[in-house]
Formats: sequence, C-alpha cells, structure tokens
Amino acid sequence: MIRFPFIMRCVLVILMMLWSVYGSAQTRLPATLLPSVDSGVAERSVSDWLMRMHEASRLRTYAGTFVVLAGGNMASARIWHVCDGDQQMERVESLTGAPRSTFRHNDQVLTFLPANRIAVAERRESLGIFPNFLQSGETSIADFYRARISGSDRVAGFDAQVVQLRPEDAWRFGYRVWVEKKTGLVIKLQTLDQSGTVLEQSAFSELQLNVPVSMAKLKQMMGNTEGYRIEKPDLIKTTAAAEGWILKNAVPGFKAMSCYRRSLRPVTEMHQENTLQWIFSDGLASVSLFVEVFDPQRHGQSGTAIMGATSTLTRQMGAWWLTVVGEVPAQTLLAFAQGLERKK
Amino acid sequence: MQNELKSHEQVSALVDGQIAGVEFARTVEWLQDDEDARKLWDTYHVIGHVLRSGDALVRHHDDAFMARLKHSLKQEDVRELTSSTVVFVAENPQLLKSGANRVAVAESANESFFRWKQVAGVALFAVVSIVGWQVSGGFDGGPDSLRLAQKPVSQPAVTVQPAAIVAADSQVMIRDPQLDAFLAAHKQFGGTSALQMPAGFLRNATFEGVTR
Repeated sequence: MIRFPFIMRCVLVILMMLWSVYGSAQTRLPATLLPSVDSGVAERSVSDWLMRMHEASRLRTYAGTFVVLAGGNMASARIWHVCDGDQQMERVESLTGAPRSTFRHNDQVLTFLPANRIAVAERRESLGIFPNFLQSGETSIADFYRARISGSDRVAGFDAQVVQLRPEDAWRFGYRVWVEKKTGLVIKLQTLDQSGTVLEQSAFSELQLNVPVSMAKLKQMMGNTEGYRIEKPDLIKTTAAAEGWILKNAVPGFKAMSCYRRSLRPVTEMHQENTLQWIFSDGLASVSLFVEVFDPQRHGQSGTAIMGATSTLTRQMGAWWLTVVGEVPAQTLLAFAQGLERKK
Repeated sequence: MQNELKSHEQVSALVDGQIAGVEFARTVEWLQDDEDARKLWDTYHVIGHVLRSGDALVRHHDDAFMARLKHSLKQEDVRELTSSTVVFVAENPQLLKSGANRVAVAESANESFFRWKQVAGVALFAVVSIVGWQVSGGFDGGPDSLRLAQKPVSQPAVTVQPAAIVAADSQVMIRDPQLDAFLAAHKQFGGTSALQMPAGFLRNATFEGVTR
C-alpha cells in the first residue's frame, strides 16, 4: 500500500530547519574573521597595504602549492620564488590540466607547453609598472577602494590579517586579501561581487618561507628550450587615437594603460588577423578591449561569458567585432563596449 | 450528492490503500460496474503518481505504447515486492474485468515507496554533509555584511543590468579556443593590477591550463 511517507515528512522538516540555520549562518562571518581585538597595528590606507604586499613578494624566497578556484573549476600548481637583489625568478609547475611550466625572470615570462613542444615567450612590461604606478599618485585606487582590516585567520599554517578592499561603486569587484603577518606576503585572495559572494579565490594550500631556492638552477631550467619551438606573440605598441578609436564615455576609475596591435597566440590552424588590444585599469582590476575587423565566418555568436571573476563580452559594432575582457561586473564590460567609438 | 461524494472518497481511499474488508469489496465491485467510477479511479491514479514522482504521465491510453511498455518492463529485474500481491491486483480493477493493461500495471504498489526511501537516504546524506561542512568551518565566502555606499555621481550612466545583457545578446558564449586566446592576451597585461604580485601572476599561471 502506498502512503505519503512519514519518513519523508520528517526529512523535509529536518532539511528546512537546517536550511534556516545554514542560511542565517551565511550572513555571519566565521569567528576568525571578526574584528581582532589586538589591532595594535593602526589602520593603513589602501596604498600602504598594497605597497607592503608588493614589497613582500620581492623580498622573500618561498615555495609552496597554490590553488585557484574559479567558475567551478579548480587548478593547482607548485611554485618556487626566489629574489636576489633586483633579480626575481619564479617557477610555476601546473598540477592540473595539461602539463605546463611557467618561468618568470623579472618581466620576461617563458611558458613551456610540453604537449606540443612550444615555448611561449612574453615580455610582461606591465609587471614593472607597479609600484611606480602607485607611488606616482596617478592611480585612483584610493578613490575607488577602501581598505579595512576585517580580522585574523590562518592559511597554510601561517597567521594572516584579513584586509577587505571594498569598492566604492558598482563598476568593480571587491577583494579580501590574507596578508601574512610577519612578511606581508599575500597568501590568499578572494574576489567578491557586490553581495559579497566569492567569485573566485586563490591561496597557498602549503607554503614554506625562506627555503633555499636556487636562482641559478631556475635560470638554467628557463634557458633549456631544446626541442621546443619558441613563439613570441607579435606586439606593436601603438595608441588608440592613432588607430582611430576613442572611448567617448569613460568608466569611472579606469584609465587607459596601453594599446597594442597584435596577432593573438595561435591556437587553431586559422590565420589570425591583426587585433587591437586597448588596456584599461583602475589599479586592481583591468579591462581589455579587443577590436578586429568583422568576419562573418568567424564571428557571429555575441554574448557574455562569466568564468569566476573574469567576464567576456562579444558583439558586433558595424564593420568591427568587439571582445571585451575584464575582472569586472558584466555591466562594466557593456559600458566599455558602448563607449567605444570610431574617430570621425 | 452525498452518496457521490462518499463514493469518490472510497475510490480515493482505495487508490491510497486505505480501505479494507467490506468497504474494499463494495468499492471494487462498483469500479467493475461503473464506467464513471473507472474514470475516477484513473484520475486519482494520475494525481497520485504526479504528486509522488513529479513525472509527467501519459494521459491518453495508447495501446501500442502500453504494450511496448509492458514488454520492456518485463525485461527489467523484478523488484522485491514488500506489499502483498492482493493489493497489486486490487489497484487494477479492470484486470478483473477485461484483462486490459494500463500504465499503472507497470508500476508495483510499493515502487514509489522504494523511491522515497532512496530520496530520503540521499536527503539524509546531504544533511550530514552540510552539518559536517559547517563543523569543519567551510564558510570562507560568506557575504560581506557591509554594504557599498554608492555615490550618486558614480551610478552607472548605463542602467542595464547583467541579465539584460544576456537577453539583448540572446546567448551565453560557450568557451572556445578563440576566447581562450583573448583571455590569455588579457592576462598578459595583468601586471596593471596591484594584486598581481604574487597572487595575480600565480593565479593566471596556475589557472590558464584548465581551459586548454
């Protein structure tokens, strides 16, 4: 005989009770994130915090395992970092997905892709921008973000202060940064949307500070490109104005950083046309505006895609195809797309 | 009217297996004799099935479909019946009369109950998982209790919400290699972020491969 099961009613009641408890728990921060009583450390400005974080990464030698959670995907990598005066080197060995080794020597980055025996060489000149950028006062980070210590926590065995970087408007995301207390090293980072939902987070799951990492060894590994075809993305520095583009409505806080004419890293057999990349930044988040000539065979699906904290927007604009990418809310990408105009 | 209501109640009780004895026999006999009663029986069965399983049910009797269904169900392993076969037979009064097969035949009396047991088991497992997760302090991303103070001048000039973006462009992009190329090109200039070193750079170097 069939009855509406009593056991099912009990389970539903229990679930509802737990859901109400769970729901209210979500609005409460874990005890470890409550404001710490021992803030003998005075509140610093956003710039101070960012400088400290940046300096820490330059002064330390460390090794560990780094984990990234974004858009439902998880990735991890072994990392080694060594600093010797002005020379900085990093090695990142991916532990998930296709094998990949990334080496960085100051602003030179070499990525080995063993699967197709390709090594991609890039010069990330933007890495040299900071901290000069911050010190120059050109940045408006402090105008658009507020820093606040929101407590203490422990990550990968290290005590950290949790710094909240709260955006002042809805054009950008917020951040929660775990700063290792002794060194100032960022050991965990979360990107938050307006409602406080974590869009993406990355952290050391395991970390050793001041380990003997050999810079000579890393240099040797980075220089060992035998058997690999070296690819260098073509980049021609230019200006948007020279290319015939203006942004008629600037998005608050975002400044144009640089503009390049380039061919994108080839991933298919198809010929890559020259693409314009116009980069904007508010100091914490960046947006790239890619402009290409519209090709109906390649372009057709306009839309928005969101992967963790990074969103993309594609659309046709007359004879052009626009792709906007950034670690910003989708409405910000739209504002950029709508603000772009051909010079008359 | 009163009698009609009572008869409807009896059919409903029969569907739920909640009558026995003389009442049971009288109701079964009524079902055998009355076309309307059988329709009512069928209706209550459909309601019960939809409420219990949430599945759509074939409403019109497609004999060919019924025959195929019956045949394929016969191929399946017979579930252990915990109820008596008397109840099984009693759910299908038409069998007594004409031997015609109906969708309800395909399902044993306690199959729904068996399914509920599975659902209950899964639900209990989910409960234990939630409790265990709470205890282990899995709440890393709770919503910030602070709310943004938005200056009026900073309000977006474009008031389109993200949902409207999707609606206007009608589709959400599916990841493709072309898009990956744009993402990689964008990350190349991640240095414009003060959070780039080390977290930003490590994040890009770690995560990039997931999309390949």
